[in-house]
Amino acid sequence: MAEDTQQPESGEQDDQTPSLPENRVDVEDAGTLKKKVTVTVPRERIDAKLDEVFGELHQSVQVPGFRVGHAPRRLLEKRFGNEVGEDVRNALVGESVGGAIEQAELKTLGEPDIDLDAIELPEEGDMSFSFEVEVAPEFELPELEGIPVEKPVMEVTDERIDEQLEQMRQSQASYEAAEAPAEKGDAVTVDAVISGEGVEELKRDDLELRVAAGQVEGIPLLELPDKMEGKAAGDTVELTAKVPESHPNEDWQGKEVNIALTVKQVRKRSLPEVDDAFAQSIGFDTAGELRDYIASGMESRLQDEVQRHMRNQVCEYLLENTDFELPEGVAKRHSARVLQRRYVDLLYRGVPREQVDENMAQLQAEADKQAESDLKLSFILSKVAEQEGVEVDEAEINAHIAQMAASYGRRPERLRQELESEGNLEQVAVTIKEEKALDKLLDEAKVTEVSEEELRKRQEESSEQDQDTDDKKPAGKKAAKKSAGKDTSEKADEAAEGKKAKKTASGGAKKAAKKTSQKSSKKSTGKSDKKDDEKPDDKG
Amino acid sequence: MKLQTYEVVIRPLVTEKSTHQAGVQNCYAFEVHPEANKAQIRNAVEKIYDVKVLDVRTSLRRGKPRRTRFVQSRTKHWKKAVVELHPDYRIDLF
Repeated sequence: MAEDTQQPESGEQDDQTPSLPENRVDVEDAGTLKKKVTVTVPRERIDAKLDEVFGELHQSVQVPGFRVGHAPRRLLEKRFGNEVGEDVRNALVGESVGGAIEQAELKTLGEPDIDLDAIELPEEGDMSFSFEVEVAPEFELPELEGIPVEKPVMEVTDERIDEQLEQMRQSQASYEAAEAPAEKGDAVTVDAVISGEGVEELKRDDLELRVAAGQVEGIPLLELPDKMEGKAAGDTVELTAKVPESHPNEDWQGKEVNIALTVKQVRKRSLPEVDDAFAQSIGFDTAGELRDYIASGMESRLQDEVQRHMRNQVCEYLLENTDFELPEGVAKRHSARVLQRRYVDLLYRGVPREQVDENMAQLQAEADKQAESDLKLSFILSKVAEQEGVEVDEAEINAHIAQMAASYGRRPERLRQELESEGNLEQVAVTIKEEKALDKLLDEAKVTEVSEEELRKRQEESSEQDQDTDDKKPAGKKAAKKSAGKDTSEKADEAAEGKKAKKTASGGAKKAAKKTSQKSSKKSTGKSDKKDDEKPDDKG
Repeated sequence: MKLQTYEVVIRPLVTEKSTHQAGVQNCYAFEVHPEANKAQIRNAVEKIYDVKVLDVRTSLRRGKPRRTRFVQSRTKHWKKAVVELHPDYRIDLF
C-alpha cells in the first residue's frame, strides 16, 4: 500500500553510501600518441547521482496541485526525467573523465573531445562511454650536463658609447636657414611636382625633406641625398622613381614617375656638442653622468643579449638531440594559432590581404614547422624541469607578473587578476618553469667564450637573418628586456619569424617593413618593431 | 443524449490530496461530466483503466467568483468523483 508515498524514497536519498564502487577504466591505443579510454560507471553511482539530483529537485520544484517539497518522487521522475537524466549524465561524465585519466596515469594534452549527446544514460545497468585523448610523448632526454655553449664576449667599449652619443646628437640636431648649398643630413624645403605617363600631375608645395633617403607622397626616393647634395635655394632636382605596388593610389601603382623638386630653402644641420649643456638638455647634470647612464644601460642590454644567445644555443641543442613524434591534434591547434598570429601581423604591417592569401600555403608550412619546434621545446623543457626538480613558487610568479606589468605599464595586481580570470596564470608558471630549467641547464653547460668579432663573422656567413640580431643590439632597451623575459618558445618564435619575414617579404612586406623602420627612429629595425606589435596578442 | 465513455471522465486529478488517498485508501479522484451519474462514472472508469470499482462518491464543485475590473463572472461549475477501487487494482496516474 505504502509503495507510492514519498517516505520510502526520501529514506533512500539519505543513505548515500560513502563507499561506492569505482569506475572501471580501460585504455587502448588509438594511433600515435592517442589513447582510447573507455569508462564504465557502475549502476550504484548512477543511482546515487540520480538520488542526489532528485533530492534537490524535490525541495525546490513547484508542481501544480502540490505544495513545494510535497510532490511525489515518481511524479517528478516522470516530469523531469529527461532533463535530470541529461544533467546526471553530464555530471557523471564530467566527474569520471578526470578520474579516469588520473587512474590510467595518462599525461594528456588538451581536453578530451567528448560528444555528450551521443552518450546515453541507460535505464538500468552500468553506463559506459569512451573518448579519445592525446597523450604527452614519451622520450629520452639527451645528456643534460655539459651542453656545449658559446658565450659571446661583449664589452661596453668607449666606441660603442660614442656611437650611441652620436645618435643622440643626431636626434637633437637643430636646423638653421642658410644660403650655403645643401649637404647630406641638412633639411630642405621644396616644392614638388610629380608627373609621369598615365599619372595626373600632382603639385605639393613647401614639403619638408631631409637630405637623406626618404619618400615623397609615399614614393621611396633612395637617390635623393646624392642628387640633392650641393644644391642651393632656387635649384631644381629631377628624380625618377618606381612607385611600389603597395602604394595606396591605384593609378600610380607600379609606374615610373618623374619628380621635380625645386629647392626653396636650405637649412643647415648643426649637431650639438657633447658637453654638460647637452647633457642638461636631456636631463643629466654632466656629460660624464650621461656617459655612465649609457654605459650601464648598454651593459644590461649586452648581458641580456648574451643570455639570450646562450639560451638559444641550449634550445637548439635540445631540439637537435631529442627525437619524438608530436600528437597530431595539439600540433595542428598550435600551428593554427601561429598562423593566425602571422596573418594578422602581416596585415597589420600593411601587406595587402591578397598577397598574404597568395602566400598562405607557404605561411602554413612555416607555421607547421614552427609549431612543431615550439611544442617540442616545451615538452623537452617540462621534462627537464621535472628531472632537475625545478619548482616555481608564488613569489617568482609575482615577480614575473610585476615585470610584465611594468613593460605594459599596468598595475601588477590588475594584471594578475586578469591572468587568473582568463586562466593564464598557469601558463605564466609554466613559462617561468621553462626558463628556470633552461637556466639550470646553462649552469651545467660547458661554456666556451667566443669573441664578438668571430661571432659576427660566423653569423654573417651563416645567413642574412642573423644580421638582424646585430642591428638589434642598439635597439630600444625595452625590446631587449622584453625578449629576455619572454617565454622561450616565443624566442624560438622570433628567430623563426626573422627567417619568415625575409622569405615572405617578396614584395610589399619588405618595403612596408623598410618604411616603418625608416619612419620610426633609425635605431629600431623592422624586427624590433614587430616584436612590440606582437607582444599584446601573445597573451590573448 | 447518451454520454460516451470518454465524455464522462474528463481528467484525473493529480493533487497532493488525491495522491495521498490513492496511497492510503486506494481512492482516485477525477473531474467528470457535470451530468454524469455514479453508474456512468463507474462504467467509464472500469472501462478506461481496466479496474474493478467498489464505490463512487461524487460532489458538485461550484465555480469560483471572478472579477475583471467591473465585470463580475465566475469559473464554471464542475463535478468531482472519487472512485474507490477493489484492493487488487490500482491506477498509475503519473
